[in-house]
Amino acid sequence: MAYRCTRCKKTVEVDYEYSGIRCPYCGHRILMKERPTTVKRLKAV
Amino acid sequence: MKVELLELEGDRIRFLLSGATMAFANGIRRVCMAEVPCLAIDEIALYDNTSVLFDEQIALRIGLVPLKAENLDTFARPEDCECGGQGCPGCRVDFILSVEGPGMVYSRDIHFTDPGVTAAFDNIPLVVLGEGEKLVIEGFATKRIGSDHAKWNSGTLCGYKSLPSIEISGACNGCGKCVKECPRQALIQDEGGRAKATNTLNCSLCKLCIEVCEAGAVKIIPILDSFVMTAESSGEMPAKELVASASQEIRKRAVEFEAKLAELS
Repeated sequence: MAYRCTRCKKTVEVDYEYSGIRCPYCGHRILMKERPTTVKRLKAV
Repeated sequence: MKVELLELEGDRIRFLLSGATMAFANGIRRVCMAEVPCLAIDEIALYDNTSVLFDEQIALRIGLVPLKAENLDTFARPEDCECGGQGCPGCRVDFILSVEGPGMVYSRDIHFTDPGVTAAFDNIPLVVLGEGEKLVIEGFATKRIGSDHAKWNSGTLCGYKSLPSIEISGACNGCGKCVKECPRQALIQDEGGRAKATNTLNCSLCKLCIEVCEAGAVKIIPILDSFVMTAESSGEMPAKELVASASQEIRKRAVEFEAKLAELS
């Protein structure tokens, strides 16, 4: 699952075995989940 | 049965139906609201949405856009289609919506593959896009009825009221209170000062005139077989066509019912 650092804007892979979340490039701790590239199908209701 | 046209203005029709039962008038109202088929966007495929709104919210808004079709009769309901509801040009119309910000996304940005199908109103706002934000959607519209979902409601404001008969007895003392109280200006004072019914079609049967009349001279009696009917379409078809389609729909069901009864005997 790809995340994006809100400070340095780099794509970051999250290491789930490590208990915390941190950008390996700048050390920022706020990461945003990227939108999946798959097409999302929805009922228009 | 008699039908007299009172008002016809694009999406809105008002007519006087006489010599019919209340059940029939209510039947027309209900069918206008929920049984006349029309097109609405059914399913969407989101390729990109970087707007501030959630995908589901966009889906809801896009589904509620009323659609106008020049050739509505050529489309079949998915369950009645030859394809068995799988989806074919006979029962669905594809569309694409691709807009990049900044700016507002309007209903006119929805482009259908069939040139006869468009949004009924081209200025319905869907979402505001900021600089660099994108919305790319593909999907299809199907023909269904209002009882499946409210987005397929062809009629929005449909209703009826009994035609009132306003009677002023000889006890009227000409105080003019009822004329002042009437919110619909259905009463006037004649030369002698006595109250007189002038525009009974406007009367809403609120009976305020009866309450203020101390002499008890005003009587309002609903005529039980005459109805003032109002129908307003959601823009998908002209109001006259809406009422005509409603009566056709009732007829179709009655014929179907007759055939089923014949099978039983």
